[in-house]
Amino acid sequence: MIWASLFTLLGATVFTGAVLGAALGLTGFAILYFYADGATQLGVQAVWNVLNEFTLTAIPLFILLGEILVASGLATRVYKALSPAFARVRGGLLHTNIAVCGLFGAVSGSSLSVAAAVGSVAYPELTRRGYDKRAVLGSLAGGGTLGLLIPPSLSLLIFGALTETSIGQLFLAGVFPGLMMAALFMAYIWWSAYRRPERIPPSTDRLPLGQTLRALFSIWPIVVLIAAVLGSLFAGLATPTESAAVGVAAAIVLGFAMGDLTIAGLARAFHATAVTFTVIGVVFMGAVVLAQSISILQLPQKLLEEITALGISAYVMLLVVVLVYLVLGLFFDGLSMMIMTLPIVFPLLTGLGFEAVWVGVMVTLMIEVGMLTPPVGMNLFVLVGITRQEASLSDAAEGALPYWILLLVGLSLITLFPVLTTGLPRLAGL
Amino acid sequence: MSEPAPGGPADRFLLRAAAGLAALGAAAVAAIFVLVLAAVIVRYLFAAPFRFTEELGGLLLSATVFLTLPFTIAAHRNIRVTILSDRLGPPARRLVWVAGQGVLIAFAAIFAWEAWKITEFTLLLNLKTDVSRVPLAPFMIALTVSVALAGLIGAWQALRPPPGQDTE
Repeated sequence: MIWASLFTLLGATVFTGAVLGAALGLTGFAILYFYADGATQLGVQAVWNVLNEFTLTAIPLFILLGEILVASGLATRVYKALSPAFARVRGGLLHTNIAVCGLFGAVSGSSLSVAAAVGSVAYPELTRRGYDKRAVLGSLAGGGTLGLLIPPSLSLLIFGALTETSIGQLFLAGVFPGLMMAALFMAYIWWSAYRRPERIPPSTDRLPLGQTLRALFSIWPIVVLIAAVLGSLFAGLATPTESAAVGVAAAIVLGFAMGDLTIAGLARAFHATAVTFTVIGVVFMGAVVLAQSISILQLPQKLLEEITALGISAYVMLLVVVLVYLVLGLFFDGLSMMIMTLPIVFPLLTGLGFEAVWVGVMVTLMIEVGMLTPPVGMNLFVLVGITRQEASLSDAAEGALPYWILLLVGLSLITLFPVLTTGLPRLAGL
Repeated sequence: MSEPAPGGPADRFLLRAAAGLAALGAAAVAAIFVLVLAAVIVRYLFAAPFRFTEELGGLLLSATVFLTLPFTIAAHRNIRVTILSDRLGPPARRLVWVAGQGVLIAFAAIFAWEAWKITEFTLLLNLKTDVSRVPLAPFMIALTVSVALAGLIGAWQALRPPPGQDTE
């Protein structure tokens, strides 16, 4: 009865096109009112407690870091520096897209920021050179997802804060899968260029090796940022929040000294951060009220008991969770999907024996899949916006399809070899 | 994702009030950055960490969300699942839009009402944070007023055509 009420209310409110946080929250309030003796105030108190959680301050700071990177135009400099290095490789500048996205992913925690920062530089340049626009958009959409997996990562931060899992451990757990995905994306680009060479024009900017190496040296600003953010974090010198603040300070200095950052641009970055964080925060508000109602009624525990009684294996259950995420990815953006499902999925999967950090990386991979799933794949929207409607959503979706499949391949690999995610945190002794 | 074009005086008032609060939200983000960076600097340079970083940082975080909330509602920035409503004809879409705004209004009303009860309690006992003794009342008032304003903006929008049908 309670499950029927939950899904009916959720469906009825969400599919009216209401603000998602309000739909989730109203469902939570209704459940608290009708099934928990009118305890609606508990929902508001839970929201107040969660939104006052200091750990979460890392989220707006990492969003701010991404906004400053976009505003400062550092992406152009890094892109130009890395381009000659990939001119000799089959697939050419499509590899550069992945490499620059990976580098930006190591300073920004947001998939959208990475796709926007790199896409705004790469799309006009590559289409001007005659690259197939679908191939370009696909590599940028796929590369953008690395922003969420390679630490620092917004999704791993939110996951850690909501499930009380160590954020340091989660960040370390994301390193190998992030690098693995980048390698899989590059391998696909190489293979695709081999099969359909007409989609990629011959390289015109092959430089001698010495010049290529000298050009590479000019990516040092981004290396400084990576050292400031990840170095301070993994060396144990700073918490995730502090490393984000140090990264923001470094990005501001570099942006003013070497990029195009202005005072007005910085003010816009603060405003855009407040808006982006609030958009996430509103989903948080609703999801926390809903989670409070679900938790008071002990629904995850009851579900786990029923699954245990039915004798369903952990991997079959994982497959069901993955399928649910694939379906949800058609309707919800990635982070919303994670925030609203964690109250059930996390206790369910950890109860079945999956490690918490592994679940964090798995959910992040599913969010990335959602970022590439039309009609609400946010990376696709951002990239179509960058092309100034020169490309359609279906162009972007078609280009991103191989990367969508590769993300699922990546998920299969970390399921077959969990050590890919759990190995580094264990090695670091966290 | 563009801001709605201001219509009559009520539209302009609501949008300006929301934009003013959002500017304070952006200032709260700047304050979080300065606070955390300053905390790192004093910890390493003077071995004297601030006692109030975590409590004040948390309060500024919630202030960011609640102060910017009315703007995100006014500017239609929030996430909505419109896969169904986008496929409807104009009259049905208008009906679903009003229902969706009804969900927002109901959520905001319940939230603001319960938040107001907590605010009254906070004011009555002059509650402060545990360590740094920062008064909680201004933050609770901001929460209540912002959510109520968001609901009001949602109600006002319900009287208008849905975004994308403005020219109807």
